[in-house]
Amino acid sequence: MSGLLHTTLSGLNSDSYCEISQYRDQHFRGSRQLQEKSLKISSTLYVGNLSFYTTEEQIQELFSKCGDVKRIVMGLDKIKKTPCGFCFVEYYTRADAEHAMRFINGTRLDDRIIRTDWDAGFKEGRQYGRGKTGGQVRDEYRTDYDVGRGGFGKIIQMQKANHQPAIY
Amino acid sequence: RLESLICRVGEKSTSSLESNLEGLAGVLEADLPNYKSKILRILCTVARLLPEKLTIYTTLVGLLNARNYNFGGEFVEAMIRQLKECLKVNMYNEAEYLVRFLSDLVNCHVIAAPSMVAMFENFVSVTQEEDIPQVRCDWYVFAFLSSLPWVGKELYEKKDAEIDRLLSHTESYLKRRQKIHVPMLQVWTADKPHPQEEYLDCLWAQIQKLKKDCWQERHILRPYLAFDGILCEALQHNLPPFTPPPHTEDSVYPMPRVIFRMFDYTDNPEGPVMPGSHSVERFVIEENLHSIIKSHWKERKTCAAQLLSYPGNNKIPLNYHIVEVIFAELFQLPSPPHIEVMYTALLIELCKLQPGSLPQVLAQATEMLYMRNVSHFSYCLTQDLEKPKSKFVREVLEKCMRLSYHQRIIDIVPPSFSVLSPANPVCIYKYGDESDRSLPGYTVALSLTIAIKNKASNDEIFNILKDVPNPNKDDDDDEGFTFNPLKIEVFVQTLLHLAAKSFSHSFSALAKFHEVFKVLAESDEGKFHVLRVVYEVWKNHPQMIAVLVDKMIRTQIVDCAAVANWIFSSELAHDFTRFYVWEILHSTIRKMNKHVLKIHKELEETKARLARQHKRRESDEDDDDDDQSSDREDGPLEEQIEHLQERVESAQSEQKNLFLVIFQRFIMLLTEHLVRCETGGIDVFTPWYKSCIERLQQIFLQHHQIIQQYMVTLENLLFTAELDHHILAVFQQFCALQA
Repeated sequence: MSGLLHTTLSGLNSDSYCEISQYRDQHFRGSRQLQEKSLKISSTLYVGNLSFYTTEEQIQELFSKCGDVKRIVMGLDKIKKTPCGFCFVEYYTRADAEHAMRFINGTRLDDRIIRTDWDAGFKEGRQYGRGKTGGQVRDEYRTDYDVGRGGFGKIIQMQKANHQPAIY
Repeated sequence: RLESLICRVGEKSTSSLESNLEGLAGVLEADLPNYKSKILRILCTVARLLPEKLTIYTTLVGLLNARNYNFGGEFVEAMIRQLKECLKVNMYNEAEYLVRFLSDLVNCHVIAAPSMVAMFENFVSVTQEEDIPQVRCDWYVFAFLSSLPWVGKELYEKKDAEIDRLLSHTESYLKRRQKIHVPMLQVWTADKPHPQEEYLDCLWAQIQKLKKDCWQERHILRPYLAFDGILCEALQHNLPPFTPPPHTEDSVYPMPRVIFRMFDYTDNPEGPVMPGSHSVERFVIEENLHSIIKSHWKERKTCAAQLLSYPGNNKIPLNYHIVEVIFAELFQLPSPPHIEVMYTALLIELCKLQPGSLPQVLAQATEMLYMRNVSHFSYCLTQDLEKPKSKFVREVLEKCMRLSYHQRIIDIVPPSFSVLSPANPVCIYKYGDESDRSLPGYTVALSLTIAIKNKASNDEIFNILKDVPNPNKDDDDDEGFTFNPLKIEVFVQTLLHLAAKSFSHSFSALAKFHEVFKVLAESDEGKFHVLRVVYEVWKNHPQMIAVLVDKMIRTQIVDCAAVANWIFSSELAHDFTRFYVWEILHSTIRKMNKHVLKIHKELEETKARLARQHKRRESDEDDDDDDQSSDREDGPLEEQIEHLQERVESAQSEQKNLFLVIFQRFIMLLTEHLVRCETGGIDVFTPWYKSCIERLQQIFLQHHQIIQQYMVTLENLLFTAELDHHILAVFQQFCALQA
């Protein structure tokens, strides 16, 4: 009966907030396997559903509650080079990032529920939105009016401008 | 599968707990021939890790013992082994749960009462040991007393004389033990309306009351009562004589604590009555709620659900208990058991699950904390900005601003409070205006600005700076790069101003011109001056100061000691009691600590690599026994180890120096104040003084593990007998925490 003290209960080991999500970056250079491996050891988080007006300072203040922040990279509109509602937060240790996944994901910043997810690591170019009009893809297609994210989705905006139904 | 069955018993189910337990006992009994050791292991583990379900599992063991006497005996043996292991590796919290479990097994007829009493007698006799730390006796007394809510009645019925004797020994120990540490751990300074009792004193009062009530205890869920008929038939086991393992140099006992209370029966007039502070029910509820948090803290939704489904909901004001327990953990000294942000996330989940009742309790708590947290002065908040209440509000508003933005705060703060609003966090550039052109360095600042905007290199920058005269310069000092405060000022002011747009811009600037910084800040005075200028530029934006200082330490532009000296300097005296200053200091200390750990880890890893290399060589068949070739192989690693060893020593020395600097500056500052008060005949206890003394305590508490290494130096060098007793008391209280 050696190592009694090392026995744990799997029910108590549950850490569901830290699990990797279904999302996989389509632009990731490498196999799915490699991406998943990177996600499991990463100290970098993707943060989504930010307001376009949320500043680096606000993000620093909030995420510092989980540990020292190594770097924040603001997500930018590819054309306008202005914040477009997401960012990357990199911690010095994975343990700190895990705390953020457990306690900041799903809470509010700037009165919006923000979402955090594991990221394989920031690479130059990933700070830009991948939507056709420069922002995030989700802002192309959404149909709601969101005052913190430029109002209506881009396609709807174009429709309104042209008074024509979009053909796609 | 077995683990899952065992862990899930007691959770919400369509059948009663009793029938679930009976069913599970049947299943396990059937599995004993094949899975006995696995079952033993799981049961020992739930005893250690799930104290909130103690009585459920003791009942289960009771049922198994009734069906299989040998199994019962083996389980008890395994538990004793586990207990000994825990004590050996300083796992005292777990050990306490095991002792409690064993004592409840008396209620389940698994363990004979007299043998349990004998174990407690051995525990209490630890108080007679000589030359041992008080915290050792504390734990053994605590382990005895804290089991009594569960087993007091049964033990007293069987062995009243022995229990009385134990209680009397305990009482005399409690009377003679030192309580120097208590003031350091108390959250409130006043004792009204809720006394901040030391944990053992509180438990003693609770047990005395329990005894007075004839050991009647009605809160604990006792499933074994339903099985009394079966359990009575079972044969009991005797605990083997248990000798507490002796004290060793490596023994680290739990630190004492103070019980945090903020509610009593007057706070919930319309609901169930809150058990009194000296009732044993209060103790049991608090213990169980703390255990639930400990079990489920990583899963905030589960944790909230488990807390809210704690049994007894309609007989106790559960929401109040939960809120009180959460704040107790948040305020625990030296530090909360879990990261602070967990508690806020947990409170949010609790409010989501109980939107009609919990937010009100939280609001009540917040108001209470605010009203009690600050002084008793009844000044109008805006009249005297030095009053603690005003300072508190200002700090809160500043924190709110950091999470939002300045205009938002201005918009929501009513006009009568506007003097408490934070400053607009803009940078102050001294060379920004035409009117500044008479300032020395103005023209260089202009050239620098143009150069930087045109993407000048470090060399070009050095060139421009060469022209800055040195106000300190000696006549025969011909070296261009000695400490030149004006050069530093012009460069840092200009650069920070150009990069003021965001943190990222400023960090880029620090990185790009790192070389220049390194040269300008080479000397200690240089480092100090850089910090001074950073403050001058960004004094309206404390958050920016903090992140810049962090970056400068990490990129070795300044070192930790420089930051410490700067924080205690006269330039910062005005901001000395502001929260951001302490954020910076503690962050600096933490960086130093992490740095030491990191290099130490590297050293250990390299040593392990060398050991593995040796092992590999030993097991190689074609070893040519050539000493020289093995040396050659080991060479690089050994060199690395030597190098790392040096780095570890150097880092540890820097770390010790940092703490010494901090303590020394505290002593100087406090002594100055005390002397001034004495000669002037004024009261020592100004708000500033109270704040300063508490900040000193905070250093001790937040970094107690590291500081323990320096006790001898601190006692001989800094906290000597000649020191004013006010300051010395803080040190003595700290020493008492592990005495």
